Amino acid sequence: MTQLPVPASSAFLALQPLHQAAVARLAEDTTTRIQVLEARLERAATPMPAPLPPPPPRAPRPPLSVVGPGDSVPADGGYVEVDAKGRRTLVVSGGRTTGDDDEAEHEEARATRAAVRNAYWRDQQERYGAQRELETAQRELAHLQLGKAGLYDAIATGDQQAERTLRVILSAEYAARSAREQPGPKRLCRYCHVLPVGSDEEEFCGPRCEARWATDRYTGEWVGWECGTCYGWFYYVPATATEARVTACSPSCAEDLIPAADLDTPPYSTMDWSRVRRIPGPPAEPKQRGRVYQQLLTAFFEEDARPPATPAQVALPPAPAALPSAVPDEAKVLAALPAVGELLPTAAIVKAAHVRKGHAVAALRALAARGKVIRRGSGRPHDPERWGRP
Amino acid sequence: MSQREMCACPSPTLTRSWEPVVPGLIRLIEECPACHVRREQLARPLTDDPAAALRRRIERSP
Repeated sequence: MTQLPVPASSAFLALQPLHQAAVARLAEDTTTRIQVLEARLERAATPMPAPLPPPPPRAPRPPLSVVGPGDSVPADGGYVEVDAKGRRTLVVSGGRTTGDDDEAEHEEARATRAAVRNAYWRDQQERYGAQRELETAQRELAHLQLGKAGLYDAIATGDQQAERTLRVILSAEYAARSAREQPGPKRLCRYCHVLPVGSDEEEFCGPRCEARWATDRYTGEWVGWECGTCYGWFYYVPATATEARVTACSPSCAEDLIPAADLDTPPYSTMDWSRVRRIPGPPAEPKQRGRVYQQLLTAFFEEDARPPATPAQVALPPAPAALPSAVPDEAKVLAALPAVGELLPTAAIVKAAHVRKGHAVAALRALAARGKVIRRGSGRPHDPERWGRP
Repeated sequence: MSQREMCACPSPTLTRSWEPVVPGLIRLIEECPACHVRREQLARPLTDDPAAALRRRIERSP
C-alpha cells in the first residue's frame, strides 16, 4: 500500500483557520442533533398492548335428534333453523343470532388492540431509527474531533463513515473558499486534471476530488498510461517503482511493443496483469482520440457555463426575416444586441448571437453604417468615416 | 450531445454534472430533469494527463 503524505505543505496548512471554523460549526450542529435525538429517545415508549381475552363461549347447540333438514324448532328466546345441509342456527326474536352481540364486541376489542399494536410498532421503529441516527451523529462528532489528518488515516483503514464526514467538512470548506477565489490562471486539479484549483496554494478543485483522493490512499495511487500498442487507456496501482513504468496494457500488447529480451526483466516479468484496469474511450482513430476527448469536454463544460435565457431575451421580438442585407447573420446580430448592452464587445455578440466572429464584425459594420448601433469598445479610435456616425 | 438524442421530453435543459473516476479520468453525466434518463460518458482531459504527470514524477524521483 502506497501511503501518500497529507498535503500539509500547501492547502491543508494554509486553510487551517477556515478548516477549524468549518469543523467547529459542524461539531456544534452535530452536538445539537445529538441532544435532540437523545431527548426523543428519553421520552416514554408506547407500551405493548395487553393480550386479548379469549372470545366468549358460544351457546350450546340444540340436540341433534330434535331437528332435521328444513325444520324450524322453537328454542330458548327464539327458534332453531336447519338448512338443507343440516347446519343449524339459533335465531332469537328480532332476527339476530345469539352470538352477534358477543362477536361485535370481540371485533371491536380486536380493532382497538390492532391500533394499539400498530402504534407500538411505529414507535419502536421510530426509536430504532433515532437510535441509529444518534450513533451515526456520535461517530461523526468523534470523527470531527479527530481533525482532517486523523480523518485521512481513518479513511485509509477503510472507515466509510469517516469518508462521509470528510466530504461534509470539505463541502463546507470549499463553499467558503469559492467566495475568495483568486483571479488568474491556475493549475489543474491534482486528481481529475479537469478543473482549475481555487488558488496556487491548493491542490484539488473541489470536495469530490479531494475526498476521492483520500479514499484512494487506501489502495494506493492510481497511475494511467496510454498503451503503446493498442492506444487504449489503462490504469493500475503500481506495486513497485519500476512497475509504474509499464506502458502496455496486456501481455499480448507488451509482446508487440517491448523487445523480447526486456520482457524477461522487471517490470514486465513480475507484472501482475490482473490489476490492470482498461478504460473504454470514445471510438476514434488513435491520432484523433485526443481531439475527441477535448471536444467532448469543451462541449460539456461550455454548455454548462452558458447563462440561462432571461425573460428579456425570451420576450424579444423575432428578428426581421426580410431585412434586406447582403451581410450574413446581420439579423441574428441585431436581435442579440439588446441582450449584450450598448458597449458591444465583439466577443459578447459572437457568444450571444451564436455567429462566427467574421460575420459578427461585418454585421456590426453594416449596422453602424446605417446608424443602427453605436460601435464602441472595440479598442480602436473612433473613426466616424470608417465606423459610421452615432 | 443534444437533448433530443436522449429523450423526447420538451424540457430544453439537461442537468449536467461530473464526477472523478480515477485520477485523470472523469465521468460526464447528463440527466433529463423530467424523466430522469441519464447518459454517462467517460472523458480524459488532455491538458495535463496523468501519464505525463507520472513521467515527470518518475523523472524527478531518484
